[in-house]
Formats: sequence, structure tokens, C-alpha cells
Amino acid sequence: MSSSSSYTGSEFRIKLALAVFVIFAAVLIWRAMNLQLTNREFLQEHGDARYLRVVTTPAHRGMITDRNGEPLAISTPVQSVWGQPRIMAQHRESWLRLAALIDTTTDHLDALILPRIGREFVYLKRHASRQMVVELKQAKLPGVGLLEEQRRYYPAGEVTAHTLGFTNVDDAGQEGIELAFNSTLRGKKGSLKVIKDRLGRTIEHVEQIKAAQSGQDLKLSIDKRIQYIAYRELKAAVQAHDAEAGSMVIVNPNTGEVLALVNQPSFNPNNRGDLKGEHYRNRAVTDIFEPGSTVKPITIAAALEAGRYAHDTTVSTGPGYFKVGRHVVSDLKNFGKVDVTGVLTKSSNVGASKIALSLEPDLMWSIFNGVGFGMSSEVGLPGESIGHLSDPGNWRDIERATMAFGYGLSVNAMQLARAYSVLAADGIRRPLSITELKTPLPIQRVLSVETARTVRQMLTRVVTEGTGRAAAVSGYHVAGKTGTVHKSTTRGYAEDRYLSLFAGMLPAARPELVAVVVIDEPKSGEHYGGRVAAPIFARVMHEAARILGLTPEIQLDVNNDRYRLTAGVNSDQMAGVKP
Amino acid sequence: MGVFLTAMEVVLHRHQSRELFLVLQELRLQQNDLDREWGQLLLEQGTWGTHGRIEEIARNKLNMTVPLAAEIFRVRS
Repeated sequence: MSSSSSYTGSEFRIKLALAVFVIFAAVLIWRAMNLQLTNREFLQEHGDARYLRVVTTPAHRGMITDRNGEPLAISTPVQSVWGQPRIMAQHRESWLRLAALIDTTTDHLDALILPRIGREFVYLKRHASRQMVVELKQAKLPGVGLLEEQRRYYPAGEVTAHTLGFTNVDDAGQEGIELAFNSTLRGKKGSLKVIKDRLGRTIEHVEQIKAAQSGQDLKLSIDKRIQYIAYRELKAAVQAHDAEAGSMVIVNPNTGEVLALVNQPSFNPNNRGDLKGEHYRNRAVTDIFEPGSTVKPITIAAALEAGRYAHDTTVSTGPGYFKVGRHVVSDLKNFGKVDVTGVLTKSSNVGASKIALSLEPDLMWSIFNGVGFGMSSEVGLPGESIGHLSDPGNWRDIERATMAFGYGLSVNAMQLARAYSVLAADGIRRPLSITELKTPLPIQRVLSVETARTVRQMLTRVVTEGTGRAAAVSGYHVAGKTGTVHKSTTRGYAEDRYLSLFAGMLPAARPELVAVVVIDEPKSGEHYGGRVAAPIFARVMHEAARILGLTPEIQLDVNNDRYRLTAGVNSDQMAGVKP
Repeated sequence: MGVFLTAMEVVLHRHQSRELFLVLQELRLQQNDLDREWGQLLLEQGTWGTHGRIEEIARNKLNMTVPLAAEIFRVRS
């Protein structure tokens, strides 16, 4: 019995031990199931977080080049310095060293880091120099890292500043081409999921979440060589005449492509420390002005289109002034009886007004509107002011009269260049383009071929015998018109503040180049467009024609050195142009 | 046995792919460095080749002048 009872005792103990094992096993299985089934997502996430990383892959911003492929804006990678405030706060002793390395003060670091102590990321220095990067890598400061970013450089500096605009520190376009074509130029950042080892090296590329897309390169219609010449001459002239500002636009009338677009004052886009609005305004498109006598050719074109005038129709401008209602339109002096060509060569306001008053307002409006006044030049640069051309239904006689010589309407330099391109392209209006055109844009005929050619013919006389003699370019017939405009102020027209204008083209028979020069408030004592703006036109066009290899129209005498006298450019002026 | 062999193969290839990926990574870094250098050289070229600088050297150091329109002869081919 005792043996049997002891047997039962041992059997009981075996069962107990088994039961304990089973319970342990059950607990383990339950725990395993719990982890595997219920908490799986949470755990997987945390496990992955220990070694899976999402990294962004930087995208290049596209390059901007001129029409010949010369780079005008390039992005290069630079390093930015960043820090982890939490870790840095534990190593305050290294801040002095850091401040010295990134060229700042510990006070500045305090202000930067202390308020952000809970964050994981703060920029310490954007776009560090190469020297800084090398030293920082050696210093190995705790909580400080380097991040690759892009920086934009403009090799041509101030010469192309207004046209190109610039980007901000985050690589987004702010002005000019950089803004207008931002979506084309900008790349799309990609992201990758990767496995990293203990040392932070990427071991495995798990999946590509988004591929990085580089921005597209952009080819402008600008010719860097012509742009440079135009900038050099404009800058020299603005300085020589002590002018407030200036603009010059050069257009190929046969395609509508803008070959040069320069303004003064300018700025260095690579170092925009103290940038003021007046420096970065692209005046050729943002500033509007009354075009003055430079619209007379358009008035004459309207008169020719009406069929009532020919180039030799005589107009009486005596006695040098005439009354329109309560107003008086006057000339510099009494030109007496002149023909239509004479109205242009002598720039007679009386003649132009009398012609305009004899025309149907609707016809005059349709020509002014047709050449692009009061509508966008379509060049697509940001901030274009399209000026003003009022509705003919509201025109009073005095408005018709003053509009004939360019008061009472306003344009920007780009629009004026386009209006002259219509004359140059035998009466066809094209949208202007700042990018290289692969296919021509839609065109519109606004003047007959006959009218455009006759006006051009008349305009060559302005340069050979009229107010625009300083615009002559040896080797070519130049067609163009001067303008001297009283600036309008809040208290009416200023007596002593002028805008000097010249708009012209060459070669007159088949123009390849159209240019507009605007000099704002020359204060050197000279203010006539023929004295201030026309010489700039001549100098720039002489060089542009040579650069483009235009065939000279006129056989020249090698001993004729008239050009040498007018185009003496000294080296001071050139030294001023540096990137 | 077959299962064991394929398992070994998987391990081997996984290791190889990681090694190759490291090489790829290296090459990407190299490409990036070369890109950077190319950008910097373009810039350097742009700076040395600024029209203003070339013009100054041409006029002042080399005594070159812009030919007059009359001095330019067009060769007809």
C-alpha cells in the first residue's frame, strides 16, 4: 500500500511537472502570438526605424544658356551646415570652436539653438565655403552635420542680371527668367528607402519612392556677345550723362527673338547683399513712358494705310504752332511747308498732329493697337507693365493730336521695340520671345508691305539728314527715329526732366536688327534723343552687325574714319563691367 | 538538401548585392564630385572669359582694336 501510495505520489509529481511545462509553453505561445499578431505593426515599425532610412536625392536646377550655348546660370552643389540641437546642447564646450569655423559668434549660436532644443534639425550655415567644409569635416563636432544643396552662379554677372533674375537660398526663382521659367528649370527631388549600417553607410537600396528629376536646361534668345556690348555702352552713357536710369532692347524682327535686354542701374546677382528694388527692376518691361516722337512713324504708317498720303504729300506746319481747342501744339521752330518725310526728319509735332486729325480715329487706333501698343509684348518676363492706349470712342481732338506725337499713351521699351519690328518685318507683328524659338510663333499682318517699306525709306532720311544723324552706322543704311520726351509728374509735364529715346533698325532695306534705347533724365546738359540715345544705338549696332556678320550695304572707303571719331570707347568704361 | 543549397545561394547573392551596392554608392559619390568640379570649372571659365576681361586684355595688353567697317572685307565663296 505504501509502495502503491509512493507510486501515486511520484506519478502526481510527474504530472505536476508536466502541467508546469505545459503552462510555460502556453504562456510562451500566447506571448509569441500576441507579439506576432496583435503588436506586429508597431514592432515592425520600430525595428525598421533602427536601420531603414528615407533619404532625399537632390535634383539639379537646369542650366540657362544664351543662344550659342554659353552658360549664363549654373547650379553647383554646395554644402550647408546643420545641427541637432538636442545633441549640441549636451556639448556646449564645442560651440566656441563651431562659431569660429562657420564665421559667427557664440551669441548667435545661442539664439539659434536654445529656442529649438527639442528639434532634430536646424540650419547653422547655408552654403558654406569649401574651406569651411574641409575644416568642419576634420573637426567632427558632435551634433553637427553637412547637407548637400545647390547654389546658383551667374558667370556674366550684372550684364545679364535683369534678364535672368535670381533664385533664393532654397533654389526657387524670384525674378526674371528664373521666376518665369521656374517650373521648367526646377528639378524634382527624389526619395529613396535604404538600409544603413551602424556607421551610417548605405548598405542596401530597398526601394525608390520617387526618382529625382533634374530640371531642364533653357536656351535663351539672348546673344551674350551683343548683350555685353549693349550693357557696356549703356552703362558708359548713363554715367557720362549722369542719368537716372537706362534701358536697351535689341530684337531680331524676323523671328521676334530678343537678342539683348539690358538696364541701368544693375546689380551683381552673385552677391546680392544690399539689394534695392530700383536695382533689380527690369525697366525695359516694368517701366512705362510716353514714347513721344518715336511714335510718329506709326502715325505716318496710319496715314499711308488710309491712302490719303504719300511720302511726298505736303503738309503746312506754319507758323510753327496751331491751336486745338484751348491747347496749342507747337514745334521747336517754324518749318513751313514740308512733305510727309519732312514731318519725320524734322520731327514736326504740328505736322504729325494735322495728319492725325485728318484720319479716322478708329483707323488710327487699329494701327496703334496693331503694332502692339496697349497690349503685352508677350515676352513673358515677370512684372510687365503693358502701358495705356485709350479707347478711340473717347478721343477728343486734343488727344488725337497729341497721340500723333506720342503723348497721352504709354509703352514700355519692349513694346516700342516690337512696334518698330512691325515696320522692320514688312508690316508683320510677332510675339516677342526671350527663349530660342524652334518653331515660329503665330504672326499677324498689321501694315501692308508697301506702307512698311515706305516708312522705313522715310526713316533712313531721319538718320542721313534729320535729327538722328548720330545713329548712323558705317556700312549700313539705318532707319530710325529720335524722341525727347518731357517726363510727366504729378504736377503735369516737367520742364527740365527728359527721357531721351532712339528706336531704329538696320540694314534698312531688309532689317535684321531692331533696337530701342531709353535714357532716363540725362543731366549732362544734353537731353535730345538725337544727342544722347542715338550714339549708343550707333556704337552697339556697329558691333552687333560685325558679330552677326551682316553683309554691309554700302561699299566703304577705307580712308573714311568718321566712325573712329565717334566710337572711341575708353577702357575705364569696360573695367566697370565685372562679374 | 536542395533547400539547404538554395538557402546558401540566397545568402551568397544577398551578400554580393550588398557589396555591389556599396560600389555603386561610391561611384555615385564620385559622379557627384565630378559634377561639382565640372560646375566649378565652367564657372572658372566663365569668370576668366568675361567679355570685360578679354576686351581689356585685348585692347591694353595686346594693343588690338576693333576693325572699322571699311576695313572688313567679305570673301564671297
